[in-house]
Amino acid sequence: MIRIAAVGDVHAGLDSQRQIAPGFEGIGERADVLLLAGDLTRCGTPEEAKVFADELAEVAIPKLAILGNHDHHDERVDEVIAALTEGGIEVIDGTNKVLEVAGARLGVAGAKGFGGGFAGACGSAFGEPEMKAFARHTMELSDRLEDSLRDLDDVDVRVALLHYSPIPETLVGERLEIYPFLGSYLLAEAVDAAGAHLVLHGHAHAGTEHGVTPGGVPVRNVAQPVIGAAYRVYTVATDGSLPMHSATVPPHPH
Amino acid sequence: MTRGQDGTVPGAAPAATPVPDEYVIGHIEEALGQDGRVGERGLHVEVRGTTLLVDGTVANAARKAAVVPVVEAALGELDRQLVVRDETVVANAAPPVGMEEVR
Repeated sequence: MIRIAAVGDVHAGLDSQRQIAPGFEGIGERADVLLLAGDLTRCGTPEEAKVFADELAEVAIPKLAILGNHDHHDERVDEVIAALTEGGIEVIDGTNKVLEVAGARLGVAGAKGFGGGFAGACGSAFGEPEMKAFARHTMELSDRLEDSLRDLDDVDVRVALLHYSPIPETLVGERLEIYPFLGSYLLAEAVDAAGAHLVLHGHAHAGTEHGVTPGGVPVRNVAQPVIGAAYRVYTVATDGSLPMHSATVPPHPH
Repeated sequence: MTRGQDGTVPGAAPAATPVPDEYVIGHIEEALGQDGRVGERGLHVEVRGTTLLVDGTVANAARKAAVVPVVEAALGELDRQLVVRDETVVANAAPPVGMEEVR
């Protein structure tokens, strides 16, 4: 069994010093790994990223992260990643990582994801260049997510770490009108095609913690306002079996 | 441009017309997201009569304390006088209790 701690949307700022760390005291006794689902900073500055990393300096278990839209806001992504990396947080946006934890192999595929919407209410790559760019960004990230998950072919537990939501169920509580800005079904399709034990995401502060992909993969919205705690801990059995329908969906047609 | 006998342009809002609530809500939501003192994009803003209500979750007490000043400054720019009511809550960031077995 692997114990996975997860949280997103902490939104650290220069005003967060000594405010985040207390919530993570003793995490090493509760979890084997900490996964961070983006929006670690308020405005995406490297200074904020350093505050966040410093706050987690005492967390001795492996720390993996992806970035969220807030972490992109100041358009200094490389510096944000450098500040996190220097502080001991490995950023796996667009790639994956295998960790040996609790006597098992945990594979985590990271992807920020993006918007586009869900069945019956989706944007598509049609019309103005701006609209095409919007839709294609999600398509590209979803394709890469599927590849990153498939790549994890020798692990006991496979997790997708996202910022945007792959399903509408974990958005319940948000206004319906903004769902297309909160996630995309393409992310779920990628997960179901490759197979996974768990999907974690953030971004939707007013959403709902629990959901499941059409292929049967559990989805958890770990945005801090949703979980109401410093982080949540999920345990996953290490017998290697995937959820019921997962990986029975044909590869994505892109 | 054709003007009426009173000098106004037909269809144009008279100068004294207050900014409609719909636009106030849009501008206030934008201010709460853009102003670094709050920097929260997911807050809900509503106008009820003479009161402007803000609710949602902010990351810490300093950002909650900035909600009313940021809203009042934005209302000043819009020349609207509303009573600002801050119903936001600070996110609970205490260690969790228990764990969930995912199957």
